[in-house]
Formats: sequence, structure tokens, C-alpha cells
Amino acid sequence: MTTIIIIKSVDHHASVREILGSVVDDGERVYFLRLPTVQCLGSLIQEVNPMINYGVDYTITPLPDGYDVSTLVEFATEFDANRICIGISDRTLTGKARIDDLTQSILLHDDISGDFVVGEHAIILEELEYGD
Amino acid sequence: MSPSDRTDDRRAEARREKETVREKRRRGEGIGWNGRTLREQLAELEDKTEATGHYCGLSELTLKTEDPIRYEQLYARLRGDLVTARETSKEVSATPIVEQEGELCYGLFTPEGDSIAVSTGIIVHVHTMSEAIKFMINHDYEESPGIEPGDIFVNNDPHVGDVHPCDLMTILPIFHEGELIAWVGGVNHVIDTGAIGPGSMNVSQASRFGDGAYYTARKIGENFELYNSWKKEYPAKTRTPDFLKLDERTRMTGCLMVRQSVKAMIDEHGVETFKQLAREAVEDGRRGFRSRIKRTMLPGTYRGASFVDALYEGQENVTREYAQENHIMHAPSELHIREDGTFQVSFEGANKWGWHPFNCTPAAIQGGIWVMLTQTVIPNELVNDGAYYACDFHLPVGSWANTQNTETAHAYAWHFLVSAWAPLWQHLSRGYFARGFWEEINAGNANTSNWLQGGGIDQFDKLHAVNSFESACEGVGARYVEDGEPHASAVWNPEGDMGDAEAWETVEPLPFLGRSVKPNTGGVGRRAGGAGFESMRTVKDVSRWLLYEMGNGYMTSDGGLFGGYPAASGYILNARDTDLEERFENQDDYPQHDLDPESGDFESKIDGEITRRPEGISTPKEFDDYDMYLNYLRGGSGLGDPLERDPEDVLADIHDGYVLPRHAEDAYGVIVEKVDDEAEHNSAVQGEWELDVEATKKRRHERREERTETAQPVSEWYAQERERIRNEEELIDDVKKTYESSMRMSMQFATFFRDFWELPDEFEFDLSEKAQQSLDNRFDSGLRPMWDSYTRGHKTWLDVGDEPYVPYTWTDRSIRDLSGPESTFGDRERAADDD
Amino acid sequence: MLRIEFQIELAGISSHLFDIDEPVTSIEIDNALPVSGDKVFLFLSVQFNSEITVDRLSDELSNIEVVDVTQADLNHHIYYLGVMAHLSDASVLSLLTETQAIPHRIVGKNAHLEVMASVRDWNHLKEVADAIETEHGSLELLGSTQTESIGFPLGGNKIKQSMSGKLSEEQLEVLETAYRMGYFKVPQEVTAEEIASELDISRSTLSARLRRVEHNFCALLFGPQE
Repeated sequence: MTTIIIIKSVDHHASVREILGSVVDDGERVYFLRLPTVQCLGSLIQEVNPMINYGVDYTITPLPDGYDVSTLVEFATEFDANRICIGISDRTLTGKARIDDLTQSILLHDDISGDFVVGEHAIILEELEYGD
Repeated sequence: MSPSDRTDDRRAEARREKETVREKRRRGEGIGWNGRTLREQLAELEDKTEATGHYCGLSELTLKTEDPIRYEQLYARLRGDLVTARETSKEVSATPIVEQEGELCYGLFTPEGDSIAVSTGIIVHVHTMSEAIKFMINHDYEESPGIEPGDIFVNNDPHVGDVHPCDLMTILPIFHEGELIAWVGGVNHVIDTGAIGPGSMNVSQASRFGDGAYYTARKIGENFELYNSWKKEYPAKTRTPDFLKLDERTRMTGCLMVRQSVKAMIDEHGVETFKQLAREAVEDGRRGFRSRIKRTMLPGTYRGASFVDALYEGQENVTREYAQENHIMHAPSELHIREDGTFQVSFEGANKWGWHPFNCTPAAIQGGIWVMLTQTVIPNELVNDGAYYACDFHLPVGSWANTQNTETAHAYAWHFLVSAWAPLWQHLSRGYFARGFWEEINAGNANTSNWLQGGGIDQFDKLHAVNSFESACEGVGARYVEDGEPHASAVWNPEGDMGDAEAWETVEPLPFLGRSVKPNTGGVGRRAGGAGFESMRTVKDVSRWLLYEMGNGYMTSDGGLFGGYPAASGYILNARDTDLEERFENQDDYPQHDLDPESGDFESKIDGEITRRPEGISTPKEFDDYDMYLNYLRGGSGLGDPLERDPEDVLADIHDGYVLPRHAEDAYGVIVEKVDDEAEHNSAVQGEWELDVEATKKRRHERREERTETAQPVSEWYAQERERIRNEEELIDDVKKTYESSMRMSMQFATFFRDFWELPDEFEFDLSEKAQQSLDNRFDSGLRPMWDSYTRGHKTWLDVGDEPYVPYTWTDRSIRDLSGPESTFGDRERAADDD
Repeated sequence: MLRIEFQIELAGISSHLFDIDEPVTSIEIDNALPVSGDKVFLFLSVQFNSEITVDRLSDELSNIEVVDVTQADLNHHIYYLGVMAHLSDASVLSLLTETQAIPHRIVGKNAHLEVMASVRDWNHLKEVADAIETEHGSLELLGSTQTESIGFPLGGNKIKQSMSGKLSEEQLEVLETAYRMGYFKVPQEVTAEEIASELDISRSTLSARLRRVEHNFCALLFGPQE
């Protein structure tokens, strides 16, 4: 199993903890995908220590500046990701997880589908299937 | 190719590499491997190392396993190139400190700052430079000021990664195709740091603001060229700008040589091989350390303590009146060895930091203990940070061993550091003894002093400072199977020696009147500690010249082993306002030595104001032409019962100048008789002695009888001592303050101390008002520790939250029953992670 | 099941209403009832940023087939409108129902139409979004949450919403406490003194608050008192 965690902010400790703690299984492969809005995930990794605390092996990969959703979907397709998780940074006035442009692009992308679950701190797209 | 062509090529290459790096950064990629930032790479490495128990999760050493010869060749080549860089570059320096003593070291580091290999020399910095690199990484230097090909960084801040500020380090990143693939660092001991007094390690300051210039992991150049701002700044912050400039060129030379070697290796073997080698070397070092501990040590807890004096009451020129206070360093030392080779060092119960320049930072302690381990546990070329990953250090925050307070002074952290090592030698030796590794047993180093320092206007009418490094040559500890080497080296620089007198005289206006082995300085024992030596110096062609001493005085910081005696402690001998000039003119006799301080010989050969004091430290005091200064370098620790020493060896000791004849009987029960006044030996000793075998047998028999008569059961001795402590009899204020400080610093130590001596639960020492005031000094001075984001390697000394106020007993860590095989002090940390 | 919140450009009846001269703050479709053919009966709450008269409003709405206009009793900036509209005037609502999404709220404000609806899953969301985008151009997803039940569909929670909006916090607290302690049971399980004591208020205060609550209830049910 492979999970992509999209990191939009270095403050997403709670999201990463939720994803690693209750979504990802032991021994899964995890890719932390750093968006250009974040310069470095170092402090986040130091805070969470994914392998010490959650037993997952992982890789940190930057998404280049000027990326679009197809870059992301290509990445997910290349690694045959079973799951894409996105941290919830904000909520609407009615308490819903705010969906940003990237998340919307993924959600409405033609070539990717599966289960859409909204957790406490993260949006989880799983059982992913890829179109042509 | 001319040197300038080579420089141009290098700069052109740096510019090309820099463009690649900038392009990557524009794409949102970091300078680490595969687009990661260095901080991400470090965080991932620490996480994987701790989670898997293998460096970076490397459970298999594929390069080493699949092609062991190639692995060894590659590693040996790196190591060899580092040694070559040191040997070549030290000739650039103008100070005998570097050129003669080799107070210089180079290290090659992974992108995350772990040393892959180090040169010979002051390999304490195997880890201090590592800390400096990690500091830059963890404080986002990649973002600002940026880390690019051709950049040059400097550091000498002990709170960041150094032992003391006179060790200046130059650090360069090495890039390959836009990735930072390694760091190279060089460090050397400079002659003057611009402290409040001249010399590299001034002793009269109360706080770090008198320590001299601190350069906190700073970028000082790019494109392999120093910034003009740096070139203008640092020479103005020292009394010896020309020397420091050459020292910097030394470090740059060595770093560039190592960089060139790495580049060549990558060209030849590919970058992936280099990366794999770097990782495997550290893991190999970790495994090597663990397996050696498993093979040579007996699991268990080893305990000991050491002390050293630093007396400031009545000292002149101390920068603050409140710093005129006597200090005794207390280093309760525990070493925990487990069956899996876990190696854990704890200083729980260490007393409080003080207004003196002997405070330590974790980098200093870890680096310092490191260099000691390289001469015991890892006596081979595979010295790198792998061993750091195999150890835990517990350094109580707020103690002299870990002040976490940037107000504290650190100029001569070594005074406490070297002294705190003494029990570690003993712990290891006891382990070796238990396992039968007798050749490895060593009674340990003594206090590596004296430090002759000072400065003023020198013989060339220039402002100058001196820092004699004859102290790189001390007697070393006795081994189980051999005597300790006399006047050999210092533990912090195994390749050091005393240096040529002429070399020192070219840079110091302090002509040598004599240099000699110093008798009675090595600890006595079945195996004698190596003897120290002494240099008698005078002063010539100076004005407003200052000199001072630094070392142990009343106290020996080592303890001897298995019945051996400690090395002799220090003393101060100066003569001012002397008649030396007249004696030269009249060709009269004058003192060249102080071989027997009790003989009156020195005093009989010179008129003047003579100072002879049983202390080790003095603050800068004025000296003029023809004044005299004794530089006495200590001996090593002794091992085993002196009555078991072969009498013939004692006789040889006399002729070699290691033992005074009258002490042969006192110390060894050996009776000798002088048979010739004129005979000369290869020492300052004049005369021939013979052994009286029968008298010796008789004397030794008597001594044993005396021992039996005066011996008492431990239980009786214990009861007497307990009463003495309970009633505070014959305890000077300084001693009481020391123990009281330790008890306040650590609840565990207080409990332990009270339990051991069966004291009431509320027992406290009755202190003088001054001592009380000293301990009541607020710990929190409002200054923040240097590190905002710590590494996981720091966690073992960071198990407290906020800095405490007095009373500063704060921990619930255990002094004795440390649990868990993988990390002694990690229990609290693990609990916190589950929160 | 997912509750989603999205916004699109103003359209239909909202667009018409925002075009009138009087400054409209928000328009919410409270309910919609089918009428034969392509007509639909829409019940709207329209809020203005100042008080206007019914006559003035009726003049403004001359282009729309208004069946009824009532000024809200407690907030005179709000008007309840019943209008007969063309299905295309409520196209978002139609699209939601046609795609079997459950509409919860459709509010026009800030030059957008904000919509809350429930969808079965990710694929259903795509289907709904696709249908709306085809008709209305781009759609911006604002938020989402996981839900177990459909909750109140459009219009279904009107009473609760109205009551909540028209009763003060204090009045609601009094009402809920009284209800939970059994004040409205026959026979009463609790005296007024006990409730007042529970709420730490005087009995006369309790009595006054309860009466106001009842008054507001009646106002909601029977319209403003003549």
C-alpha cells in the first residue's frame, strides 16, 4: 500500500498524526509531497517522527513550483498510490473542511476516483483508481 | 597548472554549480538528496535511525558486504586524504600551536552533519563540527543565509558546536550536480580570541562576555572567497591578527584539499558509491563501537567521581567581584553498559555552573569524551559519528556540564572536562580487567596543564599574545602491563608533543632557561604514571607584559587505579624583579629547573620576589624582563600497589629523573644509596645510586606491617566518616558548597548521598552566607539557549522543560536504575510522544 | 455520505432579486413546491441592508410574479416572499434534485450563490459538480464534511431555524431547561421556583422570559399580532 500525504503547511502536525495514526497501516509506504507553499518539512518530520511513532517508511518529495493537478495525478499514478491524504487547514463557517483549489482539482479530476472520507484533520481519498 | 589557474577554475566551477543549485531552488527543490531540504534529510535520518536502531535505517552494509576490499580501499583513501590535508596544511600556519603541536583536525561529514572520517589531531572535533553543521541545518540556513557551492562558514560558539571559542572552525559544503553531498570542516586552536586577557583561554572573566569573540555558525564567504566584511572584522578582534589569518588559510587549504579528494572519488567511482560509502561508514562505526563494547566490557553500572579545584578567592583582576569565589568541580560519573553493547554516560549530580571560564556545553562534553574514547574503545582509524549514535550522554541542564545559558564563560572548558574524564578511564579499565583485556587497561590521564599564557608588547614591539602548547605533552597514565609514557602527549591531541624550544622562542619573548623531566610527577604504582616535564622560562624585550597560570593546584583530578597513586598536582612558581641579568653578566649560576620544589635549590640561585604557591590558577599579572616563570606539565596516573614495583625499575626511575631518591623510600619502600656524585644520566639527575636489596626487602616488609597495624575495617572508617559529615567536622566551606550544590541540582543525587551516609531526610550542609548566596544565584538569566530546534541526539540531556529557578531540583530521572536497552534516558521522551 | 458546500455565480431568481434598486444583502430559498408544467412555487427570505416598506418592495418586484410579501416581525430588514417562478429560475435546485443530491441551503450573497447539499460519495460529487458546471460555468468547492444522515433538507429545518433566529440565547436556555426538567408535562414535574433556582434567576424573571418565548412562538405561527 502506498499513501501520498500532500503537505500544504508545516503546521499540519495534527493532520499527519491523524493520517499516520488512523489511516495508514504499519509498514505502508508513505510519500510526503511538499507543495511549493512550504519551504521545508523538516520541523514537521522532527515533530511527528513518522517511523519512530508510526512505523512507516517514507520519502519526502517536493512538487515543483508551477505544478498543476496533472503533475500530482501523474505522480500518484507513477507510484500507484492507493491513497491521497490532504491536511485540513481551515474550516468554513458551518464547520466543514475547507477545500482549496488543489483539493478541488483532485476531487473533480476525471482520471482519479475512489472513496472520499473527511476526517477530523485530514481529507482522505482512498481505494484510488486511475483512468487512462 | 599554476595555483591561480586552479583558483580560477575552482571559482568557475563554483559558479556553474551555484547556477544548478539556484535552478533547483527555483523549482522548489532543496539542496539535499532527491530534492529534499537538508533539514528534511536530517529529520528523516534521525527518525529512521532511532526507529530501526541502524544509522539511517541501514540494516545491510551492501557495499561492504559485496565488495569488502573496495569498501576498505575507499574508506582508507578518504581517511588518508584527510590526514594528508592536515599534514600539508599545518605548514601554512605560523603558530607552533598548529605547526609544531598539530592542534588541527579535519573531518568529512554527511549532508546531515555526521562525520564519515576524520584526520589525526584534535579529534575532539569529530563531533563538535558535526553539531555546528546540524545547527545550521536545524536553523534553516538553507533558506537564510543560503548554503551554496563555494560558500565558507565559520564557527567557534561552544553552545552551537565547539569546546571553547579558541577552536575556530571553517566549514565548506561540497556539491555535486546541484546536491550537497558532503561537508568538510577544519578546526584549529588559535593563539588569541580577543578575550579580556591575552591568550586563547583567558581565566579572569566571570561571564562569556569576557571570553572573546564568538562567531556563531556564520557565512563568511562565497565562491571560495572571503567576504571583505569578514576580512576586516576578525583580525580586529584578536591581538594576533597575522597568526589568525594564516590559521584561516591553513583551514581553507586543508578543506579545499579534502573537497578535491571527494570530487576525484566521485569522478572515479560515481556519486552513488560515495553516498553509499558515507552512510555505511557511519553505520559501520556504530556497529564497530557496539561490538567492541560487547566484546571487551562486562555489562553493569560503573560508578566513580572526580573533582578539581578552581580557586578565585583573592585573585586579582577578576572582572567581577562576585566571581572571587572558590569552585570545586564535582563530576559524579556513571557508565552503564548493557549486554547489547549500549553505552551510556551520566553526570547526574554534577554541581552548578559558576562564574568561571571552565563551564561546558554538551558539544564540549560529548566531543571531549569522544576523544578519550578514541584512545580507549576505538583505537583505530574508524573514528566517526557512528560511535556517537552508539552512545547516550546524560548531562544535567544547569550543571557545569551543560549550562544551557549563554551568559556562562567557556574559554577553558577543558579544565573541568579533562578532570571529569578520570573516572571514565577507571570504568573502562575495570571492565577490561573483568574480561581479561589487560593490555587495554589504563589508569588514565591527569589534568593536562599548566597553560602558560599571556601577552603584551613583544620582542618585535608588536601587540602579541602567547599560548604555550607544551601542554600537548604530558605524562600519560600507567597501563596494566607497562608504565605510562613520560612526557608523551595530551589526551586531547594524541599526536602532540612539547614542540621545539626554538620554535616557541620565535613567537614568544620567553627564552628557555631549561627544560627537564619533572621528578615525582607521574603517579606511583606497580606501573608508574608517565612523568611530566617542566620548562623554566624568563622574559625578554617586552613591555606591559602579562602572564598567568592555569591548571589544577590543591587537588589531583585523577585518582590512580588498583592501588596506584594519582599524578602530582600543580603549583605556581614565579620570580619577579630578579637579579637574573646580573647573573648572566657575571656568568653566575641561575635556576634552570625546579626539580625538587622542597630543596630550596631554586631560591638559592636567584634573588627576587619569588612566588611559590600550591595553586594552579592565577589571573593575568605583570611580568618584566628577566622575570621567571615555571611551566610545569603534569604526569599521568599510577596503577597497582607501589610496593609491588620492581626495585630495579625504581632505581632506573631515579636515574631517568622520574623519582627523587628520597621518595624512592617514601613511595616505593625502595632503599638506594648514592655511590657517585659526578655520574651523569640522560636526565637532569646528577649522581649514581645503587639499590640496597636487603634493606629494601626489610623496608617493604615493615611497610606492610605498618599497613596491617593502621588498617581498619571499612565499616569503622565508614562510621567515622559518617559522623564527620553528619556533624560537619573538618569540612571547609568550599567542600560543603560543592556537595550542597549537587544535592540541590539533583533530587536523585541528594537521595543517594543522604542514603549512602545514612543522613536525615532533610539533611543540608550549613553554609556561609557567601556560599549560600552563590547557590541562590538565579539559574534563569532570561537568555535563551542557542538551539531553537534540537536534534534527537540532544534528547538525553533535554529532559527538562523550562529552565528552573532555585531551588532547582526538577527531575524525576533515575540515578541508578536506568531502564530500557536502547536508550537510558528516553522513557520520559517516549511517554511524551504518546500524549 | 458527504455534505458539501460550494459556490457558483449568481443565477436565476437570486440574480433577478439582486438586480433590483434596493440593496439586497442575501436571498435564501426556504422552500420550493412544484407547480404543473415548468413552473415552481418558491418561498424566499430576502434580507435588505435597511428597512423598506412592503409597497416599495412590491413596486421593485413588478417584474416578478409575487404571490405574497410579508415583512418579518422581529427583523424588519427581512421579507418573506412567495413567488411563482420558472424552473430555470431555480436551476441549481433542479440540478441537485435531478442528480439525486439533497439540497440543504441555497443562499445568494456576496455576488455568489452558496449551496449546501448532500451527496452519496466522491463519484456522486463529481456527477453533481459536472452537471452544475455544465449549466453554470465553474463551481468552487468550499468545504466538505462526513455525515451519517441527510439531516434537514431544504425547508425541512425551517421551524428550528426560525425559532433559533428569533429567540434569544437566554430565552432558549429558559425554554430548554423548563422542557428538560418536565415543566410542560401534565402534571408538571417541576415548579417554576425549581427552574429559577436551577438557572440562578428570580422567579419573576423566569416567568417574564417564558412568556416572551410563548409570545414569539405565537408570532411565528400566527403572524404578527394585530
